[in-house]
Amino acid sequence: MQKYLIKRLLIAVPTIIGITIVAFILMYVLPGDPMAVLMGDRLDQQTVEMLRKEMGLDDPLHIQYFRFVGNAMKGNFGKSYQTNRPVKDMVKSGFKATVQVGAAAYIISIVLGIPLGAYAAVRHNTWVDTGSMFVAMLGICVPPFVVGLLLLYIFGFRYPVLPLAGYGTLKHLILPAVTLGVRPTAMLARITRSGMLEVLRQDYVRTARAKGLKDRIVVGRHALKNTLIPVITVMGGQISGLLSGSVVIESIFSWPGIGKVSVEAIGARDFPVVQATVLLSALVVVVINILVDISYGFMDPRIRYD
Amino acid sequence: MAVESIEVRNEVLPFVRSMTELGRRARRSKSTIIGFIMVFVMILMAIFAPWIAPHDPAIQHEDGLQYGIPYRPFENPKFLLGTDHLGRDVLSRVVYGSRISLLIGFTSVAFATAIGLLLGIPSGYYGGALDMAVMRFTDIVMAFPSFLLTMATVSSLKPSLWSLLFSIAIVRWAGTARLSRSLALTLKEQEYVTAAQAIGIKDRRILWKYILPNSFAPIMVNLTMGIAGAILVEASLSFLGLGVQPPTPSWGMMVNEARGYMFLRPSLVFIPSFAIAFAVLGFSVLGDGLRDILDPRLRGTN
Repeated sequence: MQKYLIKRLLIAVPTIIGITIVAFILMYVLPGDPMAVLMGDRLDQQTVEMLRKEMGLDDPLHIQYFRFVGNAMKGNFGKSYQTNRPVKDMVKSGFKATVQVGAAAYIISIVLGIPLGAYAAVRHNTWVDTGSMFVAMLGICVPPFVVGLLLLYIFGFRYPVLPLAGYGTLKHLILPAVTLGVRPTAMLARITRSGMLEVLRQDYVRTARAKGLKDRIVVGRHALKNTLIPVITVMGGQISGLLSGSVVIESIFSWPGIGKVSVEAIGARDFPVVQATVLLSALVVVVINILVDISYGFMDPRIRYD
Repeated sequence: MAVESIEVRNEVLPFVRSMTELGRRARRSKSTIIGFIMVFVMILMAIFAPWIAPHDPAIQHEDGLQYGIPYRPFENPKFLLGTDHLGRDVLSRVVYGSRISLLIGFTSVAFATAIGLLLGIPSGYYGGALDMAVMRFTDIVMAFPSFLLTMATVSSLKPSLWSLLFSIAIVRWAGTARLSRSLALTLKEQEYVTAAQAIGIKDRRILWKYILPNSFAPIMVNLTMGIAGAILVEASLSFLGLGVQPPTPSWGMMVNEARGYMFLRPSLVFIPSFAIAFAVLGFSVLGDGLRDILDPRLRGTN
């Protein structure tokens, strides 16, 4: 186990270095001169040169890179060109809002997706199975922004029980969380179903049934437990999906999360903010993947990294 | 030329056999047929758009607005699905929109698949340092939330169709590389490959004539699913205003433009939305069906 852990952690090192390089390069390929964004109309040569020097934009690239990494490790991403606030604060509040809506969506997907998939598998080839899998397919194929606008139209306009947009109360959270939760729910349902179908054909399930155990115990205790590994893989991958999904959904519901922050930053050519959101999102994903892999090691001792 | 004939048999037979078997099973798989029909309808719509669409999609009709407000669907026989806020014909825009979706779906995925195969197959076949390098590279790409990376890339390039294709492909190749690597890993242990190695066929030839054709089926599934994903990404980018530039009609952009009119003319939002969902669903159902008929473990369960 220890060896597995160390190996898994070591393998993440080049990935993390790569991520920092990509995030660093992003700053240099984003079009538009940062000076032009910063100064607006007041562009005069002398001030520009002074500022460039102050920000170290004239140093060799590798020195700039190491300074970027060094600062990033201290949590310092500079100041936003747009708001002049420290990027750190903007990203922090953004992540906070995204974690709120993401966690709610995640809980929805687990509470609905896994039982739905398991039930569909137990009722394999009946209308329950076909119907729920069709709905799951729709959940994956209908774009999140369409789901969001549809919910907004129904619950915000037609039957105005929920606020159209905004942030703060639990009521504001419902629509974005449900919208964000649709896709992971559908994916979890599908993967649980297919994993379950495979497990239900195993000998030990037949044995459990032959012993005369109740269906609920066979499914709940014997089958579901052994379906969990592929389910957890998908759940781990979902974090990245949730971060991607939050981009569009937050801009629909004006939810002040990391997605909205990054869309606005990209629109305003606010490089430090773009850089920080991209870098930190990727790091979050890497850490989650490590945790998922480690949890495999605990759940199934046969799995080792090689 | 005994060696030559063994070689030909070994490289072609498994491929031909798997293809005919595939065709046979496809005809019995409902989702494959449904998905295929949906995709086929889309393709016809894109090809014959000028004949199907009643109007030019970019023209702002002078009689397209009633008191400055867009027509509802079926309200005016000239504009069957109504008009948008600029008085353009919605039906024509939806029909033409299929072109952009399909173009971006097909080309970006073809591009991503080519890169993925080029890196993934040698990586799995040779292993070693090459494998290590390619896999770490895919790790890096896959660590970024895909939409965020696509968005950052597309906005860092000059807005054009090519930038859009490139930004979608640059994120998507990694998955294909992983898949083709694992296929090469399995296939290189197959008897016909070890036989080929034993009679001294060069590695490059083995990769081209043995590994690649026999990876065809799972790669096709991946490709079909990938097109669905790429169409979704294009729609989302255009919805955020980062995708196709006006006046080219794109479904995502239509939804975006209609947002301000959503409560007045919800059809403006939901008609292009339906088109997006139809396209993504078509390719996903087709891919799903193909996977079912290709996965031998699930054979007989349906």
